[in-house]
This record gives sequence, structure tokens and C-alpha cells, in this order.
Amino acid sequence: MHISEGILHSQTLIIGATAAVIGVSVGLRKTDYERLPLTALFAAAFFVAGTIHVPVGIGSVHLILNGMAGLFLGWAVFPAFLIALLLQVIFFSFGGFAVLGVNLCVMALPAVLVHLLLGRYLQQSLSRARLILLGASAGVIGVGGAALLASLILAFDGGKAYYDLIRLLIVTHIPVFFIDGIISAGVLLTLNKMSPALLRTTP
Amino acid sequence: MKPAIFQPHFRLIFTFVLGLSVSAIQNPQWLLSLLCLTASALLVVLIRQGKPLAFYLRRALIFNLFTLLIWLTLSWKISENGLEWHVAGMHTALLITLRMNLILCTIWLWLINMTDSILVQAVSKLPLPDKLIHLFILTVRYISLLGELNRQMAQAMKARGFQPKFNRRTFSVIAQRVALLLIQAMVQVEKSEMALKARGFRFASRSSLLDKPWWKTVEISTALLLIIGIYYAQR
Repeated sequence: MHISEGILHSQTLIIGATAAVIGVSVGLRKTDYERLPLTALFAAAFFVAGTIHVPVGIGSVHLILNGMAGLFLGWAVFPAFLIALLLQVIFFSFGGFAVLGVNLCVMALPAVLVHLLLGRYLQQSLSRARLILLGASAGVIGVGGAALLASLILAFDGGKAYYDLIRLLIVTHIPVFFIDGIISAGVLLTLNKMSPALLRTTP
Repeated sequence: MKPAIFQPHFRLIFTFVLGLSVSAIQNPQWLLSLLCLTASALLVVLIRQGKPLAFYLRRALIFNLFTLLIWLTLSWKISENGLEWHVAGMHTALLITLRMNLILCTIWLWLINMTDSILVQAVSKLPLPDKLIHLFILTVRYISLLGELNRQMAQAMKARGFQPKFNRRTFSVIAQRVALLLIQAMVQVEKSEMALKARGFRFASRSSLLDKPWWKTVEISTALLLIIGIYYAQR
């Protein structure tokens, strides 16, 4: 979920960049040097997973999985997503440099919320139904939180002029909202079957 | 020898500053003039470097599908007289379109020929914390590894006749594919940890600003100042 360059005013961009710097600073402080390779690999895995498309109607949507990333990375999602977003700007022209801070907050803050609310449950052994609920919640909070935050930022920046844009943003993300929840639940179930130790690597 | 201004890390900084500056411009005539200038410069550079123009044109068209959606959303409104043009909305859509295209051309112009290895070099020259630079280098390296694995899985699925559709089977297969990527990531970490241990390597925990006990206070006070700033900006 990217807010494109040119939509937000400089004041909002600077606020977003400052918030992002704080988030990245906390993320780096909470990540030990020993954990850097694991963080980098999860960041890379989520970056690659984000390129997988799911057909919806005549088009397709790509996975976001920020909620899942939040579960596995905790506060480290800030530096991890910063790198992913920077690569997306340079190689795919998604988002932009000036709006990088805002987009980082949009993606990473809901992920941190997922970590704070649900992270501790991954340490316990969970039944199938609870894993599904956990995965679906991570997907819904991740994408839903990102859509809500992006809407709030647009409303803060443009006021009434952007209300129609906000509607457009929410409508276009409804399929992602459901698909991310379903896929996140499926991923947790598969991991629990194939590599339960991986679920305990959360920070 | 290229001037220092064209070094990759300076190009990254300029692109960021230019993006911020363009976002502050409110005058469509200014934006249009700058867009024409930047697009012409980009065209000259692309032709001189023998880049495929069709590729850039196609990407610009895809990018502008989004601006089309913005025009479709903002250019009309429902009033007492029924459906009518929304002049203020059209002005906003025009500003957004011009800014978006100007920034796109700026990014393409300044970051032309930027590969992942040049990007890694550029980032390592920026005044950033060591940990972030390490994380960046590792992530770029692992993206190419896992990207290759992802491509192989996609090929294997295709070879077995799998066609993604909006159904339960597709969701299940995609969930397994993401899980396998994560498991592969974990296996890679274990392998590299074993290799590092075998070589007697230990991560040096270099002291940085981030590790100072008072840094947390700086983070909290900046966050508080930001919240106060947002509150006043909204009033």
C-alpha cells in the first residue's frame, strides 16, 4: 500500500519522515547484531512474498503481509520495511523518496501493533483454530490498520478535498484485506506443521 | 571522471530533496514547465544511453492509470442539480498528476543505471547507523537468493499445470509458497551461523548513538514533540 509522490504536502511529508526516523531508531536499537541476518532474511522473504499476485476478477492483487512481518520481526519491521520500500521506489517506481517516511509509517505501525497485541501468542503451542484466528487477525490488523492510517494521513493533509480519494483507497484494498488474512492464516498453519520451531523465533 | 555531484549517494540525497521540493509547489504552470524540462532531459539521456524508450513509455502509461483513477474520482460531484463537474477537485487532480509525473521523471533521470550493487555502495556512504547499513547489505543479498527460489517454485508450479484462480486451492498453494520461503530463510540463517561459528567469527557490537542510554529519551521526546506539532498543525 503506497501513497504516491505528489499527493501529500511538504508539511505532512516532514512529519511522516520524522515519525519514520523515530521508528527506525527504535527498531535498530531493539535488534541485536546477532539477530541481523535473521531480520534481513525475513525482510527479504516478505519482500519476495509481496511480489506474489492473487487473481481477483479481471485483475490481481499482490500480498502485503505486513501483519505477518510484524509477528515475526517486531519493531525491526521499521528498518526492514524501509529497505523494502526503498528498493521498490528505485526498481519498480512504487511510492517515492519524499513520501518514503509516510509510507513506512503506514506499513510498519500496524505491523508493530500486531506484534504488541499478538506476538506473545506465537510463543505458546496453539490449536488449529487459534492459529487460524491469529493469522487472520494479523492480516486484518496489518492491512486494515495500514488502510486506516493512510486514510487518516490523506484526511489530515487534504481535508474534504481528499475524501473521494480515501473512498477509492479503501474500496481498492477490500480484496487485499480479506486475502491477506486468509493467506496469513494459511502460512501459520503450514509453518506449524512443517517447522514449528520457526514460530518461536519471534522477538 | 564524473563530478562528485553525480556519485550515487549524492544522487539519492538529491532525489529525496527534489521530491520534497516538488511536493511544496502549488502552481500548475510551474509544475508543467518543470515537467517539460525534466521529461526533455530524461528523453535526451535515454536516447544517448541507448535505453529502450518503449519500456519507459509503457511504465509511464501504467503509472498514469492511477492518475486516471484520480481524475475519475475527483473531477465530478453530486449536487442539488445532479451530476456536475467539480472544479476544485479537477484542480487537485491536475496538481497531483503534474507532481507525480514530475517526480517520476526526476527519479528516472537521477537514478538511471542504479543497480542493486551500486545502491548498496551508495547507502554505505550515507551517514547512517552501521546496523542499518549491515541490514541493507544482507537484505539485498538475500532478496536475490530468495527471489531465485521464488522463481523456481513458480516455474515448478506452472510445470505441474497449476493455474492461480480466486479459489481455496490457490490460497492454500500460495500460503505454502510463502511458508516455504520463510523456512528456506530460516535454513539459510542456520547455515550461515554455522559457517560463521566454524570461522570463529563473532558479531562486533560496535558502540553507536543508538546504544547510548540517553538515546531512548531523545526518541521519546522527539515523538512527543511530533505529536504536539501534529496537534497544532491540525488546528
